[in-house]
Amino acid sequence: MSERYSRQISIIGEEGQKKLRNSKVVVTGIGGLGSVASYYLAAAGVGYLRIIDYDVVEISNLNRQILHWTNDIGRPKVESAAMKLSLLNPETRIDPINEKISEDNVDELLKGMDVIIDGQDNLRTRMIINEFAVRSCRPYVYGAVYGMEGFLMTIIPGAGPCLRCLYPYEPKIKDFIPVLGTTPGVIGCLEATEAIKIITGVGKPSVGRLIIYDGENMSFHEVCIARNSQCYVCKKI
Amino acid sequence: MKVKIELFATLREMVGNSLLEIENVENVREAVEALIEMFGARIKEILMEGDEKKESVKILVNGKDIRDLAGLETKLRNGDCISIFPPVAGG
Ligand SMILES: [Zn+2]
Repeated sequence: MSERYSRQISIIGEEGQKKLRNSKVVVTGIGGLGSVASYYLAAAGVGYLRIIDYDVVEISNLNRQILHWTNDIGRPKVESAAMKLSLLNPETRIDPINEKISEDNVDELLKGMDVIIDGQDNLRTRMIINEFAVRSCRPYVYGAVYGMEGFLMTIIPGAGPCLRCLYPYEPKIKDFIPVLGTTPGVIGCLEATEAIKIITGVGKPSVGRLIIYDGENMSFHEVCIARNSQCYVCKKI
Repeated sequence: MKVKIELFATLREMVGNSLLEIENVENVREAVEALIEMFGARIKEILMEGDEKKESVKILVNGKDIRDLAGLETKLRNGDCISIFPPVAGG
């Protein structure tokens, strides 16, 4: 196995490394969360990494979306990200898709992936992805940020609550969400950790446990989230 | 009797504080009412729909969703910690 991974093989084993190389992961959005998650997934040796986004890089992205640099302003985010990720690890196949995820294309865009990583900036698209994850029985790592706070929960359909169990209703959320750049850094990194654990079978993912990172007070909380027996998305599985 | 209230995201921003302590409340409903009394109509708008909690807002007592306890009538004991957060969606 390549020396590139020598520091992690003692943790996940040769077998685990092989599993990463044979795995397919999709990062749904390549902003603050997705930049960091995809960076670590490519670095860890995930064999196939699909990245999906439809935005172009803006200057206000640069405080947190670390795959995009000043000279990328105006460029499609997936193009900017794919360039850096393939330079970082030529052994990872990067598949950039410049599209907006919707109910109509979600099956086509996400099918066949082993793990789905949340890189969205709104709840509506997350719910579309959650429904896909539940109906196709794929792990989905939810991550989200606000200010200096970050939230993470891993959804393994059937084994614990889904995103709809956690948030039965979507409120209107204001468009401008304040974010300190390091917050999606923390959460994106945790999302990648969860994906690596799920693929290699190492450790215990945060199924049914909402992890809340509080950067202001520098603390982590863990909240137990039960399945909602009324949840219209996952009650049948 | 004292309980702690921990706020997240927009609620924290609005109140300007992440952790509050309130006294002499019997149940979650009274704690929420105390919060509204302290911080006014804007917080009420986020938390409540008439007499009931908005379904999009999560309220936990010692890490347990009040949905799985007795809702707003969930009894409180000295030292209990109530966490309140709206759905978080930034990325
Ligand atoms: Zn559910």
